[in-house]
Amino acid sequence: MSRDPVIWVSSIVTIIAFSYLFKENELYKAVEHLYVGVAAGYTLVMGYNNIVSKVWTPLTRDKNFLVLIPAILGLMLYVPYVSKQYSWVKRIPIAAIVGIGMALTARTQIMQQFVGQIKAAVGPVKNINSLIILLGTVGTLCYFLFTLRPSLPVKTGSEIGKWTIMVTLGAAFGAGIMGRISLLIDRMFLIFRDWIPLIKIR
Amino acid sequence: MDFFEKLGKIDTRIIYVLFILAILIPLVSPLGLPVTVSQHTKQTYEVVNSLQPGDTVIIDIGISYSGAGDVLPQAIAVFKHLMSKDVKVIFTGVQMDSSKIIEDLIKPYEEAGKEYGVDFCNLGYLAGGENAIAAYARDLKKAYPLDFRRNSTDTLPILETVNSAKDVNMFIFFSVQNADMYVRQITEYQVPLVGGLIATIAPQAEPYLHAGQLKGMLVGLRGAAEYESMMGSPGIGLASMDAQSIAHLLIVFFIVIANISYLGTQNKTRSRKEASQ
Amino acid sequence: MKQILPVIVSAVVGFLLLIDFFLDIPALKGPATEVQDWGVILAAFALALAAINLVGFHIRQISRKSVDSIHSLILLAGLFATALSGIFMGTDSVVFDFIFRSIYTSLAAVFYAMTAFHLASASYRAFRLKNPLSAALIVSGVLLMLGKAPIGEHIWSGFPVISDWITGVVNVAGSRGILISTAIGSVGMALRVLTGIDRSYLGAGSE
Repeated sequence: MSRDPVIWVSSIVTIIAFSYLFKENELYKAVEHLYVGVAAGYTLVMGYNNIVSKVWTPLTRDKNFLVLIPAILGLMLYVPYVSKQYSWVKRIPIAAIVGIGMALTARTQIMQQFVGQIKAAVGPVKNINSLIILLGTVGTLCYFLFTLRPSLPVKTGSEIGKWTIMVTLGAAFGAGIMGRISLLIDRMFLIFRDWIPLIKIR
Repeated sequence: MDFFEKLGKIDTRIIYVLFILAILIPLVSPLGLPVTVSQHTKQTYEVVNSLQPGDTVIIDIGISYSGAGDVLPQAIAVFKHLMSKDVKVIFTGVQMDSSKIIEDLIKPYEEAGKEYGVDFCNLGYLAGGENAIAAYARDLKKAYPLDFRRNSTDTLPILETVNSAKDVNMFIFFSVQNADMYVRQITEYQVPLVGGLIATIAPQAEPYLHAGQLKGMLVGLRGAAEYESMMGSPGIGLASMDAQSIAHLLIVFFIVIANISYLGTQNKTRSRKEASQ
Repeated sequence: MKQILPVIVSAVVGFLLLIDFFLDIPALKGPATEVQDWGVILAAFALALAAINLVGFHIRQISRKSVDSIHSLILLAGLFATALSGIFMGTDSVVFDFIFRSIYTSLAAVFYAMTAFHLASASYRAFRLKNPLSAALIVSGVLLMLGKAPIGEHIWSGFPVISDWITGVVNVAGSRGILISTAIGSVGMALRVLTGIDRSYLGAGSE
């Protein structure tokens, strides 16, 4: 068996976590709470590191005082903990975060997800597969059209779209199972290779 | 309860135990099933292989430990390939766990003689998700004044000629979240974009590969296994394929017997209704 | 002021980034890069919010001496041990590294890995061939699983061909349609937020 304390603790907490599958128990709840606490603590560490890198360093090394603006905005997020009267102030940095995020996503979405995908969909129909892709794409779009009066072409497209979406969801399900099994295999390596050396593969 | 009803009411704990055994037994006693390489992986391998010694790539490790089991083997294999070709790698990350994962990736190569700051560097985790990608793709040193090891990015030789994403030869990402944000934010810099994705989200990224917005895509642990096979360097990916196979077969078996039970009981119910009429 | 100021801030930063992207105005490049960077800094400050809320909630649980206060104590112990060791001793310190590797990495992996069992159970309990549409879903999922597992091509060489066709043709069509639809929806949503029509992100009392 391994002599590494990290492997021992990891394996034991892993087995306790898996015990939930058979019956919820107090040990599982303890481990669950421990994980949430450690994850939250880790978030604090990462936040601190980012602030040192993005605010403290430019301020002290480069004398870039512009970083004080987002720093003050960032601190405004915590005003509700200090004053109930001015708690509305936290909306300003939230608005900034949302505004920046929305703009960054939307501006590139138009070119990449919208124009780029339409260009690929209406490209030359070279074979039966590209015809299926074109019909399936149009069908899926028809399926999501709720504001048009359902004429025969839209209804037909919608029906094609329904079947396309079902197969797409089936593919997503199959892929989802694949992904989850891989994660479980990884945990098996921890317990039965690193801790109890049953698995000889390295 | 008749046979069909019993078939549909197997205890969940038995299912769990069978599932564990389906994964454990092939790991303890491998079947040695060969893995054929898919077109996706061949394409990805060829794109990465086209890099020349001295080229620089950015690798974004968008991996968290929750999904590392599926994607990390891909990153290990691709990084090994890049190191064997003397390609320089700038690591970035938009997941909180990125920094530590990158440190674990580069440690063996540092110990083997590769130089931090020259052959690779770990810029670490940058908060903000897609915003972080947009920020560092636009101005790398402004987004990262310090690297994960608290070195000033101005002093790292590997970053001397790299100011933004357009200054690198390729952008590779490994993600447990989605490929959308990388396609959105990196495409404008017109560098080849290659992705390694967790199997769960890979189907949603297929349109990008089909449209040529992604030049290559690795899918889950199977993608890692295939890449290892192409490199002639077996690792965790290949070692896991037997277990993956048997587990898949077991799930298919569960679906089949559940539906035999369902159709059998439906048939009985229908016959009873007809008989009573 | 309480309602209008956040909307103005959102609109200014948002439209600055949009205009910078679509119109080539040199004077806007600097401010746009700066604002983009501010987004990263704000995200870093926001990281602590969840932790602070957790601390407050669990301290209240402990002070009320509720049934679960021992679990709250465990949570807070984990939180402070990780945060203090990471910040004051560094992320490469022995203490932080031990907590990180033995607790965080293993439990992060296991909670997601457990969903494999739930999926296995769900496959058995929920996936029924009730109608042609559900049959399409189940059959395509099964064919994909058989095609992607190495054992599938040993059973029949056609499985990988079919599964590649499902992912590379039909799935591309469906996913592409969904991508285009979500792009339209997201852009519409972004414009609603940036123009102040939709203020739900500001919380209660913001309308």
